Amino acid sequence: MAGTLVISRSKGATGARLVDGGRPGYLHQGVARGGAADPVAAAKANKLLGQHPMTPCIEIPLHGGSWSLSGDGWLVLTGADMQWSLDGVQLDRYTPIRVTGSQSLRGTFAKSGCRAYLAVAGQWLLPTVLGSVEIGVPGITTSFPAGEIRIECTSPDMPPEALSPSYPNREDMVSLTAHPGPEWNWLDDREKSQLYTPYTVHPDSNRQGIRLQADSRLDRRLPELLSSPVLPGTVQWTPSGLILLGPDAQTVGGYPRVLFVPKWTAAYQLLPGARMRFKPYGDSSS
Amino acid sequence: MRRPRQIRPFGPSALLLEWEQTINLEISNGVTAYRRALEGLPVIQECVPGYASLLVVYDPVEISEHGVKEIIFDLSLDSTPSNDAIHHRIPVAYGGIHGPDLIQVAQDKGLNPQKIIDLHCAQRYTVYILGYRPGFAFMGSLPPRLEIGRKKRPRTRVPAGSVGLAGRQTGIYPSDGPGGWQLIGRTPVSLIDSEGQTFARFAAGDRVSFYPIGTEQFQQLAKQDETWPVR
Repeated sequence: MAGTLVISRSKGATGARLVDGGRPGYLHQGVARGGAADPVAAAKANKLLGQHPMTPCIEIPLHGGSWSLSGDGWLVLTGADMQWSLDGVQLDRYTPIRVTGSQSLRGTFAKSGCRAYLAVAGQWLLPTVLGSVEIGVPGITTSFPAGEIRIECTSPDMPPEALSPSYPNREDMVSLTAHPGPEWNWLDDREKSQLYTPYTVHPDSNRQGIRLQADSRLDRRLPELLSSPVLPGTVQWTPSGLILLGPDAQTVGGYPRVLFVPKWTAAYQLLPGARMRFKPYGDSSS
Repeated sequence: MRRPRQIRPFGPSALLLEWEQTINLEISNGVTAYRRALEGLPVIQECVPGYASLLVVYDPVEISEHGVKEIIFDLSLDSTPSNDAIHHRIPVAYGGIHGPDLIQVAQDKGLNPQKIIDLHCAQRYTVYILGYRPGFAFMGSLPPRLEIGRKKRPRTRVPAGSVGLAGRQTGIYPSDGPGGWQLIGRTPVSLIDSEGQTFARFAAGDRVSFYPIGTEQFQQLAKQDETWPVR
C-alpha cells in the first residue's frame, strides 16, 4: 500500500512534540542529547509497525488532545493510557490501527503513565538538523509543526500485539536506583540520608528536568560549581530543591551533582503529584 | 599542561576527570589534551569538557570502568599546545544598536566606551567550554578592568551574533534567544551551521580575538558566505 497520511493537531496536547533518536555525540558542542523521554515506549511503537525504533513519532505529555488524521495508513499508540478513541471508538494501545479517510483521534488526561507516543508506519516528511527532527537547535524552531505532518505510508508487517505495560498508580511510591554523584561528599550524613527520603513530582517538571519537592526541606545552600558537564539522569542540588535532569537538559551546569540515576527515563512516566524516592545503588530492597 | 587530580565514576558508563577547580589556562590545555587523545577512540562515545573537568562517556558493554581508566593512565600526552587549536579573529560592530549595553558598562567601570572596546580587543581569549545553548562558547579571561556582573533582568531576546560580558568571561550568542550578559557589540559572522560538516565554529581549546568594524562593513560581511577555518 502506498499513500500519504496527514496529521494535524486540532485541540489541546500543547506539550506534544516530535521525537526520534535525538542528537547523541554533540554534548561537547552544547547540544542536548534529546530523544524520547521514554525511549522504550517510543521504540515499541515503531517496532510494532516493523520500522526502526528511532523513527520519528509524536510524544504527547499529560493530555492526549484532539488530532485530525487524513489519508491512509497505520498507527500505534503506546506509553501512557489516555483512553484513546478514533471517531469515538475506543482504541487499544500497543496494537497497529488502520486509518482511512478523514478521522479524528482523541485522548484524555493520562490515567496511568504520563507520556504517550503516536507512531505511524512510513517515512515522515520532516526537516532534520544533525540527523534529528527534534527542536533544540537553530533550524528547527517549533516543538511541533503548527501546520500538518505528512507521512508517506507503508504497510507494516503485522507482528504479534504487545501487552500494554502497567504504570504505577499516582499513590504508589516509585524507587529509582541512584549512584553517588561527583559532589556527593559535599553533603553531611544527615543530608545524604535526606536524599533517600520521599519526593513529589512538581508540576513545573518538563523534558529539561523533573523538579522534586521534598517532604522535609533541603535547607543548606551549597556552593556553586564552575560550569561542569552533566548528563541526563544527574540529580542537581539547587537552591529551589532537587532536579533530576532529563533529555533536554543543558550540557553543563553549576549546581552540585549529588546523585546519578542510570534509569532516569522511568521518572518521565510519573504524573505531577506522583511520589518517588531514590534508592542507593546496591540496595536490593524495593 | 596539567594532569587531572582525580578520576572517578559518573554513574555506570562515564568517568569524570577533575583538575583543581579554577579557571586557568594550563588546566584548560590539560582538559583539551585529554579530550583530543580520548575522543577518537572507538570505545569512547563522548568527551564533554568543563572548565576544569572532562566527562568521558563509554559503552560499558564494550569496556569496563577499569579498562577506561587503564587507557587514561597509559595516555602519552604532548605537553605542548596542540597545533589543532585554531585562532579565530572575529569582527565586531561595537556599541549603538549592536551593543546596547556598551555605554552603561563604560559608566559602571568608570571608563569611556572606546577604552572598553580597546580592552576587549587587546586580549586573546581561550574557549573553555561550549554549553548553555548549542554552539555557545564561554571564553576567558577578560582583563580585570572589564569584569562585570550579568544584567539584573535578562533580555527575552538577544540577537544571534551578540557579543557579551559576564564575570571574567566573554561570549557570543550563536542564535536568537534569551540572555543575561552585557551586550557590547555584535558580529556578522556565523557561529553555527546546521547544514555543514561541522556544527559549531568554536571548540574548547580554540583561541579567539576580536577586532572592531563599522556598520557598513558589518552589513557587507553579513551578506557574504564565509568559510570557517579547517580543523
